[in-house]
Amino acid sequence: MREPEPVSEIALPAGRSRGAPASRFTWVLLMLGALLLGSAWILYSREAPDTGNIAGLTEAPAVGHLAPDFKLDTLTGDSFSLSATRGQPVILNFWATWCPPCRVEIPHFQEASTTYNGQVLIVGVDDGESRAQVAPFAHEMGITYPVPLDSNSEVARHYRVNSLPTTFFIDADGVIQHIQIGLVNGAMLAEQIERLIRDS
Amino acid sequence: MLPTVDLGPVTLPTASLVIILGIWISLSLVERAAARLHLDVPRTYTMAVAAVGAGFVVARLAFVGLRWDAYRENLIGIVWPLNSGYELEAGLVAALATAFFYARANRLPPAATLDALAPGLLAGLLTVSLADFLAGPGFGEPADLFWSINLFGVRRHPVQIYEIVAGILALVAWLRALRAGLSPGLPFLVAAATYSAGRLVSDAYRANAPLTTGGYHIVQIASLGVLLASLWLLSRQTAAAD
Repeated sequence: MREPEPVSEIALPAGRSRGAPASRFTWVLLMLGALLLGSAWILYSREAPDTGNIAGLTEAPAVGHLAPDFKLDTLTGDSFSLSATRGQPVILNFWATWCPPCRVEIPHFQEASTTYNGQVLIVGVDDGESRAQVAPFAHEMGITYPVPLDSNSEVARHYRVNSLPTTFFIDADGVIQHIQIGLVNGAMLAEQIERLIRDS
Repeated sequence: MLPTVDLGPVTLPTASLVIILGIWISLSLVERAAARLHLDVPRTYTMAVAAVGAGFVVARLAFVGLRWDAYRENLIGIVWPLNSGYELEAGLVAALATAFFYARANRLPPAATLDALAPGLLAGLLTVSLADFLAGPGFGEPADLFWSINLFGVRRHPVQIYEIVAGILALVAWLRALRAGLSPGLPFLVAAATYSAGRLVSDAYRANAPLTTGGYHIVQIASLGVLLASLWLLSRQTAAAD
């Protein structure tokens, strides 16, 4: 193999200067111009400090947007409306009984619903199954948090849930802060919950 | 826009796929640049791989270490899933430290090595912007321009595309500086100045940018700092070369 040539010995193309042909004055002018124009642009781009105003936000299943509202009946027969939870962080977990990773993460959600009771609301939206299918499974897993039944997958489609499990972390203003496609483990869940509580 | 890619029964997160592809492209570019600059190609490439690897591992371990109570009961969670759960700052420090000490131990010329790393770093930044465009949390301010994109019914600045344009311009500037035969280190500084100037402009159009308590865009402030530092170093280097 050819030995690498030391950089200091590389010949420059004929007639080319190693440095840009700029005088010290030109450089000072350039830096001052960059400083002034850059600072002016930063000042111009400044946004009003965050006052918690969400008036300009639109509903969309994406980070930084308002979580789309929905209303569903729960496993216990109550009516669940997402907009009614406004003022409290919500963790919206889309799952199904046939989904193995959902089975793995449900104990973490159950534990979190107890640990953070009153601070964060865990909601497990069952995707595309009937009450008869979900009820024995929920009993077996010891789920005590609300389980709205999205039997015709309408809400899942609206949230563009393409794979299960998918979890939306929604702050107290109803803004989606994080979307986890796939398994959530206990550490990730604790991290996201603490962030939601801290920012609320 | 495209959060997942379906491959038969398997659903993969788009952003993670793009980042993995980006790392491969970045490392390939570093290898090619090192050859072009007549550097020690295997060592330069190994340095880049070691920096990426160390950054990845340390970012993960730092995340795990800070939340050990949660991981102690779930050891498999340390290695899976991997699409989130990183301390980016820790990873960045580890990557820079690895590159620095490897380069020093192997006596790689610092300035020319930075020139070789520049296209890899830029490709990495381009990839992050592309992943963010396809599946990330970023989006632009509302704007009714002919190049605006429709995001959930609202036409917005394609802010990540602006970032990609800034990256491509920086790559072109780096290549031109290299072809002009500028002294070692100068192509890197030219690329850094171009990219930071681009981000200084483009970040103004980001709707959910991280802000200071006074409402100033943090990325813009950092970009202005990098731009001024690059220009100052360029002026010193060119003065020394002249």
